[in-house]
Amino acid sequence: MATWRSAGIVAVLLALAAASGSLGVQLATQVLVLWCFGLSYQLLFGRTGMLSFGHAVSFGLAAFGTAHAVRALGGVPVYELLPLAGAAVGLACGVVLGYPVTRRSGIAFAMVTLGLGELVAACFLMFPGFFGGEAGVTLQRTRVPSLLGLDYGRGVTQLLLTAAWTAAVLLGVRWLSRTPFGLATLAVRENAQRIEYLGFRTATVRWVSMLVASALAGVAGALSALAYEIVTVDAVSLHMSANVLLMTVIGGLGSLWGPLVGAIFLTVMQSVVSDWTRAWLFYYGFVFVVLVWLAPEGITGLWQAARRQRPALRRVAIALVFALLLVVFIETAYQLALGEPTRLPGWQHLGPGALKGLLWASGLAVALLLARGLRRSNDTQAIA
Amino acid sequence: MDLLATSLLNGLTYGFLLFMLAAGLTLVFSLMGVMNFAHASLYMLGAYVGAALTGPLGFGWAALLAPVLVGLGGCALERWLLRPLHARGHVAELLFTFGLAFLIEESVKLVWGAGSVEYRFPPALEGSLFNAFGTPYPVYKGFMVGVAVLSLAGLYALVAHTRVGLVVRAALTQPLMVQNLGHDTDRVFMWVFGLGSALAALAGVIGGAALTTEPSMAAQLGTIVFVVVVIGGLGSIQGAFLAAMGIGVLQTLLIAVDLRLQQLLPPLGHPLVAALGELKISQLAPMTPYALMVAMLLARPRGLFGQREA
Repeated sequence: MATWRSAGIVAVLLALAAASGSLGVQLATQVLVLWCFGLSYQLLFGRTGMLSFGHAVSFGLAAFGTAHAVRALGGVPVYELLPLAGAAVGLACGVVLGYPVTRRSGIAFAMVTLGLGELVAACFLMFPGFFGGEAGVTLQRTRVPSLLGLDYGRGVTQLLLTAAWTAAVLLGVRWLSRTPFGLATLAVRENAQRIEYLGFRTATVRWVSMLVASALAGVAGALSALAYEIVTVDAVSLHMSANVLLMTVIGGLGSLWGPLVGAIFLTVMQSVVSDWTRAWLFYYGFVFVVLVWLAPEGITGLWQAARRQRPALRRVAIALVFALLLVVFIETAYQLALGEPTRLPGWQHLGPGALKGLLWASGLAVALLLARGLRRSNDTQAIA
Repeated sequence: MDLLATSLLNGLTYGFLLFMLAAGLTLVFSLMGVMNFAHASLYMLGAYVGAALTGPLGFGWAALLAPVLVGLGGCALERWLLRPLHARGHVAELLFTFGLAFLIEESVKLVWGAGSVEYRFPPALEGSLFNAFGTPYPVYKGFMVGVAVLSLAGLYALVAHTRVGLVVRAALTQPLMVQNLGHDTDRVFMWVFGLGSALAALAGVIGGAALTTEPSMAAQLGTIVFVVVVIGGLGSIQGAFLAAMGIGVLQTLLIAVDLRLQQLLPPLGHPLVAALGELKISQLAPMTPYALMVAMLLARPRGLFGQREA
C-alpha cells in the first residue's frame, strides 16, 4: 500500500511541476534522470555491494552514443525508443569493461573502477570526433520524429517521456530484486565465500549485475542527452560518478525511493542552493560524510527511524543549531577568504571586523559542538 | 640517447614521488585494512600547508612542520572519526574517506581559492646538479629523490629494526595476541596512520613545489597511486615500489616520444584503424597506467606481489 501511496505522491508532484512552468519542468526532468541513474547504481552498490567509482562511464558513453544516434537517425520516427540505444551502449560498456573489473570485489573493485573511469575520461581529448572536444556534442531532439506523433519540442512532453522510462526502470529493478538472481546478488553482497561454496560463481553474478546496472545507467544517460540536448565530457567524468554515489547514499540504499530522495536533494543543491552560495559543494559533501558516519541508511532510513520512534526534541534542536552555526561559519570564512560576498541575506552589512568576530565565534561554537558529539558517540560505543 | 637518459631520470623522480604516497597507503592498508581514499588529499594538504608556512618561516621549516601538522591531523582523524567506523566494515570506511577527500578539496577551494597558489622551491635548489648527456638535472629533483630515499629508509629502519617496529610487524598478523601481551594496538594503529599521513604530506611539500599546488592535484595523483597499489598487489610494499617506478618511467618516456602509431604499425586499410594510427604516442601517456592496470587484472588479478584475491 505504501508503494502505491508513494507513487501517487510522485505523480501529483510531477503534475504540479508540469503546471508550474518551464523551471518546474526542467527541475522535474533533472530529478527523474538522476533517479533513473540512481536506481541503476542502487542495483550495483546497494544490492550487489559493488562500490563503483566509475559508474558514470556507462551513463556518459550512452549519452554520447544517443547524441550521435540522433544525428544519424534524422527523419526516422523512433524517438520514444532512443533510450534503447543508450541501453545498448551501456550494455556494451558493461560487457567490455565489466569483465575485467568484476574479477575483483570489495576494496580492489572500488579502486579499479576509479582507474577505469579515469581511463575513459582520458580518452576524450584523443577522440574529438566522438566526444566533441571541450565543447561537447550538441543535438536537436526534434530531428527524430516521434513514433506516437507527439511534439517533443515542448518540455512537458519530454518530461512525460522521461517519467515513462524512469517508471519502466523502476518496475524493472523492482521485478529483478524478487527473482532468484536478485536474491543471489544480495547473497553475494552478504557472504561471497559461502555463495561460492553453494556452487555459484560470484564473479558471474557480479558481472551480470553490472551488465544490468550499466544498461539502466545507459537509459539514464540517453534520457539526459535528450533532455538537455548537449553532452559534455562531464558526463563520463569522476564528478558524475561521485554524484551518483553521493546522491544514492544520501537518499538511502535501503529502498527504491532512496535514490529519488537523493536526486531531489542533489537537484535542489545544484539548481537552488548554488544560486545562493558557491559553498554548496561543501555542504553536499558534508551531508554525505555526516550521513555515512551517523546514519548509513540515509535520509529514508532516518525518516523510517523517526517514524518508529519520535526523536527527542533536544537532539533535533541541537542538530539544527549546529547546522545553522556551520553555515554561518562557512559563509563567513568563504567571504573572508575569497572577498566575494555571499548572496545569503545579512552578510553584506558586516564590516571586516565584524566578519572576523563572527568567524571566530561561530568556528569555536562549531568545534565545541563537534567535540561534544564525538565524545558522546565514543562513550556510547565504549558501553556497547 | 640524451632524451632517453633525461626521461629515465625524470621518470624515476616521479616514481619516487608516487612511491612515497603508495608506501604510506600500503602500510596503513596492510595494518588496518583501511584503504584511505583521502590519502592523496593529505598529500594536497601537505602542499598547501607547506606553501602557507613557507611565507613566514622559509622553505626549510615549512618542509619540516607541514608533515608534522598533517600527521597529527591524521592521528586525530584515525582516533576520532575512523576508529568508530571500523566495526561497520570496509565499505563504510571507504565511503567515509571518499567523502572526506571531497570535503577536503572543497575546503581547500574555500580557504585558498580555486586556482593554483604560488609555491616554488627556494632559489638555493634552482641550479643544476649534474649534466646527464648534455641536459642539466636540476638540484630540486635531486632534493626530491634525496628526501624520498631518506624518509623511506627511515621508515624501513623504524619498522625493521626498532622495538616499535617489532610491535607494528607483530600487530600486522596477530593484533589480538599483541594486545594480550600488553601493547596498546589501538594506539599503534593511530600512530601508524599518522605516520602514513605525514609521509603523504612530505610528498606533498616537495611534489607541490615541483608540480603545481592546486585543488585538483589530489584527484590527479590519487587515482594513479591507486593504480600503482593495484598493480603492485594490495598490501605489498615491494610491488608498490616496482609499480611506482615502472609507471613513473613509462609515463615520462611516452610523453617524450614524438611518433604516431601508424609509424610503428604496418599500414592498415580500415578507416577506423587508420584514425587510431593518427594518434600520437605522447597522447597515450595519460592512459597508460590505467591500461596497464586492466592488463594486469586480466593476466593476474591479484597484482604483482598480491597475497590473496581481495
